[in-house]
This record gives sequence, structure tokens and C-alpha cells, in this order.
Amino acid sequence: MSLDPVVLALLAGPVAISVAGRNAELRPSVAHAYGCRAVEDGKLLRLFVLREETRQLLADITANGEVATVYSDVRSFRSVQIKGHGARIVPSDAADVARRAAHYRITAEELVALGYPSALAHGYFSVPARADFVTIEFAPRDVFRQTPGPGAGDKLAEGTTLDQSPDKKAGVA
Amino acid sequence: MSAVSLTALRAALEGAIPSEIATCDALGTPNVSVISDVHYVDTDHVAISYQFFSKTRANILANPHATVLLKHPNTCAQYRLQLTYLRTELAGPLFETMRAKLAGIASHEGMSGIFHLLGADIYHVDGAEIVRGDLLPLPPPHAPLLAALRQTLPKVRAARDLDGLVAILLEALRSEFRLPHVMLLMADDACDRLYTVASQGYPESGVGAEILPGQGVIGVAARERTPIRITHATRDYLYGRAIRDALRASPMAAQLETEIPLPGLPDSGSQIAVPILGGQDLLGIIYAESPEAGRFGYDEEDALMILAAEAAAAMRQISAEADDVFTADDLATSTESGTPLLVRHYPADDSVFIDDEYVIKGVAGAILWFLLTEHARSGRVEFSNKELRLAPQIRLPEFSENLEARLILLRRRLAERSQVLALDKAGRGRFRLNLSRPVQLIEP
Repeated sequence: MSLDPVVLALLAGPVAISVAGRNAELRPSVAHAYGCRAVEDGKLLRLFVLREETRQLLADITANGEVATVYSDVRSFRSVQIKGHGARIVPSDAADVARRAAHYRITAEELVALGYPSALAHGYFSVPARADFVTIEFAPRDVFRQTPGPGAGDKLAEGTTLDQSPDKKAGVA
Repeated sequence: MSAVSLTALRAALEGAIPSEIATCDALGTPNVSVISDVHYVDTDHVAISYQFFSKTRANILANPHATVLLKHPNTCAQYRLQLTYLRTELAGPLFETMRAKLAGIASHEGMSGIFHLLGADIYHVDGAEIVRGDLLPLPPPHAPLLAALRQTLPKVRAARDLDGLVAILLEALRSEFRLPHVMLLMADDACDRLYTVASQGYPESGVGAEILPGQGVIGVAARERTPIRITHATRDYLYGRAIRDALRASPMAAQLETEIPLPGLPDSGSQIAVPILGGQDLLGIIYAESPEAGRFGYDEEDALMILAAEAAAAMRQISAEADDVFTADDLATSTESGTPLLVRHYPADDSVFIDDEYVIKGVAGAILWFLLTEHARSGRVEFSNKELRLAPQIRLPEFSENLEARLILLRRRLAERSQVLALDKAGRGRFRLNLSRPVQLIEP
């Protein structure tokens, strides 16, 4: 599936991103992602994670490919969750590196604009000098509205957008 | 990544930065959600706010494993907790502590209408690890709390009477704990209310102001006998007008102090109220506030709870020691001159007016009227706590610390309201009525 333009715009903006997997005992793993890149209108999503922060998550994804990701706009807390099967770990490419740098810049700048001290705003999204990044790639299967409050967890059916009122529930995340 | 004790991570459990929680359903589909509050319970437990039924909640009921990612609000450190869901609490001290905290977080995030607490989900912490260490240095503490306790506790233990103890507490809170805006309230169990005996850092002291259990930060701390802390002060818990309205609407309104407003900072950023507990009995509340958001953390709460515990022990000790015996030889008289002071008493609520200005009512009003009538009858100016306790006109609650507390508030209230009439200490368990003008007593 390709993603709604509103969802794609959210993913491209100043968002905090987290990725979760789970092991064979169904114990979840979770880590922060340092940006994401949508390929072909979101038919594929690529998320950038630090290997040293994600050993369990990478092991879980390698073992079973289950993945859940959440993207939360730092300005509005507007959030969306995207899940998929068959996720895999691949090397980061040049487009990933460029996108990661852009994500760092716009997210930190937005936090500064919101009034966070610059050192903190940059600190949360900064990475070590010799960072060992890998990319988690998966095909989105389900998209859920995740903004806190009523309607959080509603599944976005094909053809509906993130901003529609959540009166017709197609599922709950 | 290294293992670490949960207690060392408490700063990341203030709700200042949202956290993420990952769960997994019974079929093996993971879920990750942003949550506003992971609350420290003890070294092995955290609680997570349950605000509405979500996929996270459905998952933990089916599969109790969860993993949480936390961020330190100052250092950018990241931590990860492995959790197992145990149970949900729907009421009680922990629930109220989290409800107040959540109200502050919601206000901070502009979502007051959305964040209603339905329950406190309790989790066992199976493991805690540092995902990334401190990137930025920790800011220096506002006050050296351990040193403040070490300096203050011996003085608290040495207090000989309640008046002295109140003075020691206020001075220590200001100079050692660096809390310029504080109030000390005493509980009146028999009448189910709290009254302000002392404060500092406000234009009006508010001494004598009353509050009902359950109202605002102070009232909830009193009712639940648990510390209540708000890192970003919120309308939901502001006392001011709402609390006075509640007092006036109470069926006991006639017996409650509704004329003296509770003081408060107009732009309060953080608030904390800790109970002074003697066993299960609520003796009072220490309250502090600050214009700064996020001023009070877990460490401040710990320090004030230790101080409150010592204050409770001192109060119990003071009230257990017998009053000095009053002897008739101590009779002294005062010299008054000038135009008489008009003092009016209304027996229905024991309210007292001096020259048509309201002063006080209730127990403190009854004490003042008793002293003035006794003085008018015998000319006596020295009195003992013991005779007040025995006087049928003064309907005292059973706990004797209440009498001293009422005398403190009466003394402070008179000092604020009258140049002519004062109560001064005259030895342990004794005090002197100082009048510089004659008094004319009127009882309609």
C-alpha cells in the first residue's frame, strides 16, 4: 500500500520516531529511530537506528520480521502508528544518510523554536561521532491514528486520511 | 548498555518528556505508543497512567510484558525498562498522586480536557538499562537537601513547644531548603478541616484560612495522606477561588473560615504538599510552591517527607509533655488607657470583630472571647493552656496539639490585625494578654 499524503507529510516533518519488535516469547523490544525515509509514496519505509542501541530489536526483527513504528509530531503530538510484517535489516545507503541529516536538523530546530534549550533540543537527536547506523526496511500494512485522546488507535482504512473524524472505526491499535 | 537501579533513573520518571511503551498482542503483533507518565513507585515497581482503553491496554491484559523507553529531561540520557504488568489501582494514594501529576503534565501539554486518569497500572520492573549515557551535565541541585536535613532535624527534635517548632520549620524551609513560598497547615480531625497556622513569602499571610480535605493540592494530600506534587501547576488543582467556593457551599459553611483567603502565588509553576503524619493520624500539611515549573522532584518530595515525619514526632512529644501548673500567685494585671476598643462576639459561630473589623471565628474566636471576658471579670492577663482546655465555652477537639496550633494562629492573626490587642508567650504552656486600651465587650 502507498501512504496518504498527510501521513507522508507527517513522516517528513519534525517527528520523534520509535520502533518496536518482539521476541519468540512475545516480549517487546523498543528503540528510538533517527529519521525515516518513504520510498515510492510509502510502499516501503526505511528507518535509521543505531546498532548499539538496538541489539535486541535487531535480533527480534531478524528472527520474525514483525515491526511497529510510531511517529509523533513534536509540535502538536499528532501521531501515527505504522505496522508491518517481513521487516528486514539492511545497510544504510546515501539517501538514508542525507535524510537522517535533514531529520536531525528540522526536528532539533523545531524544538528550539518551541522553547527547548538548544543543547537539549540537539542532544536528544544527536548521535556519536562514529555512529554505526543500520536501516530497518518494511512495507506498511496498517496505519493507525495515534494522537493522544479519543480516536487514538483507530485504524486508518484505505481512502481515509489522518485528519478525518474517527467515527468509523476499522480497528484499534 | 549497562544495568542500573530504577531509583537512579527517577528524574526520567517525572513526565517531563514523553516516553514510549512497546507491547505485543497474543498473536505476536507488536505495538508502540507514546505515553506521558511512567511513575516511580519503589525500587522494583513503576505505575503507568491508564487514561483510555487503547491497544496498549488490550495487549498488557493479554500478554503482561512491556518495554519502556525513557529520556532524562536534562542530560538527554536514555533508559529502557523491561516490565511485567501486575494490576490496576482505581483509587487510593498512588492513584491520586498520579492523577495530580497527570493534570500538571496535561496542562503543560495543552491537553487538560483529554488526560483523565482511569487507573494506575502497576508493573514489576524486571530490568533497567542505560541505552545512552548522559550527554549533558546535570544542573546543580536547587538546594543541598541532605545537608538541609542534617542541619534541620536536630533543631526540630529540640523544639520545646509548637510555636517554636513552627518557627524552626519556616526558617529551615526558607534558608536550608531554599523554599521561599511555604505554608504550614494543621489538621482538625474532629471538624474535618485544615487551617493555616503560618506562612511565608506571600503579601498576605492567610493565617487562619481553612481548607477542606480533597480540595486542591493540599486537600488531596490531606485526604489521601500522601504527598501530592504538581510539576506544572494547573487549574485543575489551583485552590484560590474554587476552594473558597467549596468552603462556602459546604453544609458546614457556618463553622468554616470563609473570610480569610488562602495565600497563593498568582503564577504558580510548581506545587507540593506533604502530609505530617503521626501514625495514621493526619497532624498537618507542609506546602511549598514556586513560580518555576518542574521545581519539585522526587528528591524534594523525599526530603520534605523526612522533615514532616520528624515534625510529627516532635508535635507528639510536645503534646505529651504536661503544661506547667498555673497558680493564682501569677495573677498580673495590665495598664490600659484611651478610648475603649469595641469587641463584638457572635456566639452562633464564635466570630469576633474588633472595631467592626472581622478577626477570626471558630475555636480561635471562642478562645479570644474567653480571654477577654475573663479579663473583664477578674482583671487577669495571664492564662494557661490547661484552663483553656478545661473551659466549657471552648469546644476543643480531642487532640491537644490543636489548642497550641489555634493559639499560634490566633497570636499571628492578632499581630496582623490589631495594634492594641496581642497575645504573648509567658513561659511554657502559658501566655499573656496584652492590651494597650480598655476593651468594651459586646455580645448581641
